[in-house]
Amino acid sequence: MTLIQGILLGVFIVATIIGYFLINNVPSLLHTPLMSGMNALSGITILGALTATAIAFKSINPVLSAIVGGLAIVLAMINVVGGFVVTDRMLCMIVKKGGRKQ
Amino acid sequence: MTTPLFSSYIYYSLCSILSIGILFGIYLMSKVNKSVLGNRLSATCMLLGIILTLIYNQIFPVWVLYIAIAIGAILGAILGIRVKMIQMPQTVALLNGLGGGASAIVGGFALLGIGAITAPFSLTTSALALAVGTLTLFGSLVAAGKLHKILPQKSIIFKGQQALTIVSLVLIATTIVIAALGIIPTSLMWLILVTNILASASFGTLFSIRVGGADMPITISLLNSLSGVAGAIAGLAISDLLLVAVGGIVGASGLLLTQVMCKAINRKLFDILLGKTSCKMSQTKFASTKNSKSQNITASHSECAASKAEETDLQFENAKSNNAPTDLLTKNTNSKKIESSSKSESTSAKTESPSVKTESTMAMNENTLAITENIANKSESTSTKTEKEKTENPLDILKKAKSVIIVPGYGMAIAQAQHQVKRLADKLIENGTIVKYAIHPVAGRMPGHMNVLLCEANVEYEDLYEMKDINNEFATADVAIVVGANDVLNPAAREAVGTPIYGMPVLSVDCCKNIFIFNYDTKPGYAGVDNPLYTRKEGTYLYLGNASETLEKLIGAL
Repeated sequence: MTLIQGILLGVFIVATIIGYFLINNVPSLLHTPLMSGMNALSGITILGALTATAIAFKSINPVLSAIVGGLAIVLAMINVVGGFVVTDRMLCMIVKKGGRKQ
Repeated sequence: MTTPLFSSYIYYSLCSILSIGILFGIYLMSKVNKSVLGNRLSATCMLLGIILTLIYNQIFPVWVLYIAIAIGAILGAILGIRVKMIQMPQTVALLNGLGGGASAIVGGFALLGIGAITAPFSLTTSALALAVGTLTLFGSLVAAGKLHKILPQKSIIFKGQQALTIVSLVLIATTIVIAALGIIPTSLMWLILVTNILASASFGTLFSIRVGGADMPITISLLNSLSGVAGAIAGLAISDLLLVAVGGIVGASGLLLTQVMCKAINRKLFDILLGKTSCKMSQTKFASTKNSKSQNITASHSECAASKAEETDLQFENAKSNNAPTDLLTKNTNSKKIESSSKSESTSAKTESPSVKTESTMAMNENTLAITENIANKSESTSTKTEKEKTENPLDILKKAKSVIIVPGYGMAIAQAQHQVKRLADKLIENGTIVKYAIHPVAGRMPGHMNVLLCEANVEYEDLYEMKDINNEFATADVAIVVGANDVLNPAAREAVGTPIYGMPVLSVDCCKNIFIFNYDTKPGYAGVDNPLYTRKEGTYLYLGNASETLEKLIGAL
């Protein structure tokens, strides 16, 4: 394990701990949008898909890697865009109605 | 790789800033008023992250990427804009699965040495990412299929399922270990890759397919958390800081959200992971409890009414019984039996009363009567026939009611009846009635599903009460209006041992004097357990059919 991998592992652990305490006391009204928002964020794997596909495209079988990697990017991108749009729609609706009285 | 345009220090600093931005975004999203901003902040950070990655890795000239990005973005946008609110659960499940699939592909690339070095650390993490990603993909697809009714919604259990699950798990573990040891030449890595994918796919499918009933929202939340974990592990494999940080955050907060939900329905996450989600024993045990149930239920229903008659002291205990329902139930069963059967005749009065009920309701009332008679025949003290109580017209009950609690469920979502619910509530409020909404933590197919729908219909957020805050009020409320909910108020959850809903805290609707039920039919709910409330002898008014139509009629009559 190199230094960078050690750092990464550390980041993973810290991020996990922070994430765990981040959303304490969420009102149940926000459960759905929060879940769908985090769902969109889990599409962050798009970054990995981009890097890996680019490397594969340049080095090995371009057609195959373009297809497989392209698929990964498409999937991740649907996840990201669809997720954020859906979350935004839900939140706009909720906040408009729920926040009006406050 | 060629030298980056800017130093890795700058890159890592930027990554940290973006990670903090996303963290802050999630934090804002857990606050009602700031949530829209939070979501947009997260989205912006993600976009910047993509640009940063393209620049830092110097891959922006690779045109293939842009085609894929464009296709994905367009498909995602179309899906996001066109999907209806009611389809949200399956949409979240589907999107989640796609993210998992993408992580799996990244893991697969890394396993073949693309984008990662072939060292034990990368190999382990990439095999792990492949496994977690694949099982998330298949688990989510099955969940989405179930929610979209492509697949049967009941929990599916077949012989040898347990064995197959264990075999899959062992295979996954084996492939990861073999990959980690690096004893396999790169040319044979394909074998590991394929085995890993097949085993994970089978595990994911087996995991999801047995889920039924109230565990579905939790499963979705858990899969959601898993897709974050898959991303983080993929990030470890290809040494991508942002991926690790965000994946970790999503994975952990997803897990916390899952736990919040588990707590709400009194289940242990560990049990669900171990596969106690299913009604494994229901087929055998439920059959036996069913017989005894039909008698017990006669007693349990009148329990609340009876204890109320005995004045305030007992009301206290009644309130307590919501917390520990099983104890009190078993104690009271015998003592209340006689009282209950004496009331059993009153249903016949109800059928005779001039009513505005629909035809189907009338037909149903005859059914109810038939069933009630059955129960009455079974119980020993049928001879104590009292004079038929004159039951009030349901409309009058509603008009006179001082406090009404509305209990929405998934059926309201299907019938799109939230607007009618709101109008009914408005009508009642005009009459000076206090209207509250009781939201069970797992009402619907997704946590917070009901809140979203009711908000869509302009219901004030302040009127929505969580189960623990409102459960004691059912005993004092005049009317409970159930709209398309079943499992979450099924008193059988307290006594039907071995059924999927057993032990789940339910809304104490059965403690209410008058219950109006707007359900499509009297079939068991998602969990497949009969609801004894339908055959309750008094104070239950069934309005069967599409809830938005039946509600419309009632509003018209009011």
